[in-house]
Amino acid sequence: MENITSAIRIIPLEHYLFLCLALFSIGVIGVLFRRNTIVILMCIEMMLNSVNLLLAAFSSYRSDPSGQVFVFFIMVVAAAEVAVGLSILVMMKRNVDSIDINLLNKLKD
Amino acid sequence: MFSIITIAITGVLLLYLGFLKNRWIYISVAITGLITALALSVFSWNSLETSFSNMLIIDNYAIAFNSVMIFATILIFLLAPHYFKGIEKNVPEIYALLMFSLAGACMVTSFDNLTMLFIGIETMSIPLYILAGSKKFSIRSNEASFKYFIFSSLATAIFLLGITLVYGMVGSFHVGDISNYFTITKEIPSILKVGIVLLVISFGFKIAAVPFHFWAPDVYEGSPTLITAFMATVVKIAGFAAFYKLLSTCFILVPDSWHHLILGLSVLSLIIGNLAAIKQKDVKRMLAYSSISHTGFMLFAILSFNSFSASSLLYYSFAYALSTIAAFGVLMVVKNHMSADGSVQAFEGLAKKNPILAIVMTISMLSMAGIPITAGFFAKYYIFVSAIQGGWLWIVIIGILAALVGVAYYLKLIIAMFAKTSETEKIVTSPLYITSLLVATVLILIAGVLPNLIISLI
Repeated sequence: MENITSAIRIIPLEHYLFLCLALFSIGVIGVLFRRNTIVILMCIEMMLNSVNLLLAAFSSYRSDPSGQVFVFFIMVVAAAEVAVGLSILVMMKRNVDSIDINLLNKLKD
Repeated sequence: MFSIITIAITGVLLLYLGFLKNRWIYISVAITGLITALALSVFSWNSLETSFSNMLIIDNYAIAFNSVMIFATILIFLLAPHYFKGIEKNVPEIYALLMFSLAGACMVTSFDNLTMLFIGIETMSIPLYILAGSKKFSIRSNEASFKYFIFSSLATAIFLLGITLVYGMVGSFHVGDISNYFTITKEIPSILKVGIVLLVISFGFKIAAVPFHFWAPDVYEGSPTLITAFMATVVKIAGFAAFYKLLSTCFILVPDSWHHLILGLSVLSLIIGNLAAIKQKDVKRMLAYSSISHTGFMLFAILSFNSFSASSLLYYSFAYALSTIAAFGVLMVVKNHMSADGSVQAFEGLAKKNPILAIVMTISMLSMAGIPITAGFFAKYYIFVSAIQGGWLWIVIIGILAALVGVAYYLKLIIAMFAKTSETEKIVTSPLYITSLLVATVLILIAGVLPNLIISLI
């Protein structure tokens, strides 16, 4: 455990921050602009995992374990979310035989 | 604490009772569980309780909001048997998911650690993705479910990034530690401010404040009406209670980093919510926009932190929950029986054959518009007083103008019910259904005549 923490600290904290923010932004852009729903789900996963990485980095820099415990909570919730999200996709696929997001335009002003 | 456990256990029990195939057993177990939870919640009044190694703190603030939410859920459950009449499949699962969502909502109001806030929000939201899509073969319901899923997950991710940045600078998830950090530190790092802004944005998504509201009308319209009623009341109240608590306990000492944002959210919600509601044809969509404009009013309480704002927020939540449930309750039967699309035309001449439904709808609309002797009047009055005490006179003026615009579209519905005459049939409802609507209506009037009962609680 001590080795991992010191290994994480070899890289400066700013680099973790920039990497995670970049990953997060890619995720946000993917959610907003991609048309394929599977890719959208992947982008949401990417956002959550970039947060996980940042939490782990902060946690080892502060020598405080609670950040790493939080990562487990995020993983559990992300798994539950993706399970529900995929089942919504299955439901959609049964009804309209497609998972393209452009078909989701029945509700509007 | 015990009320949350009771709600969760009732949910699990309902899943097993699904084997019995008797819809009166489900509903009686669900209502019994909820009443027990309400009683447990009310009887723990004034006893400060912490659990899960200080991650959950149940004080009077939490108890008051939990009781309002549990009560709103009881009213929604009373509407359920009639709504699900003829649908045999998956009803106990829907009840159970509503229970789990309510358990999450009760956790959200009583967090003392950001971990618990996150878990609570997710426990509340994940069942709702399924519930929004619970009309499995309707593509509109699927669409509502998927949109809610995507935007809620986006909000969750933003929320987590906000928490992480706060954690990175403060070094703890605990509410007490975070507020201590701000008393000690004078120079706040800018990355912490970014974290606070992200938290505010994610809550803006959850409570559907403009400009983060775009999912709300679609989701409200596409979901089954019963679920919409739950979303518009319980989930929104839980979101507000948590938002208020988060800002007032953690970030009260650094108001410059979030004050302008809340101001913008509030003013935009008032203006855009009301203006968009006027031009809606569909009543459900109109109620969705009116709920966005109510968000604008409720944000006043967060804008003006003082001793009065928590109780004004509680009163507003109570009044708003009652009128929303009554309005959606009437809308449900009108939509089903008139075989109409739920537009304003479907309500024409309702008062002729169905005077009770028309009166319930009228009182709930008057309450939403803020006309005296209904609860909505004092709700707006107290929240304006709280804002004036905080020194926000100009925003109160905007609020009053917005309320006047609001009267226009609420009256449009009332006029359609009473003035227009068209052929309507008599709508048959069950006694439970009428009880729920009448309880909501009578409470709107009681709370409107005797506002001190609630306003002096916290």
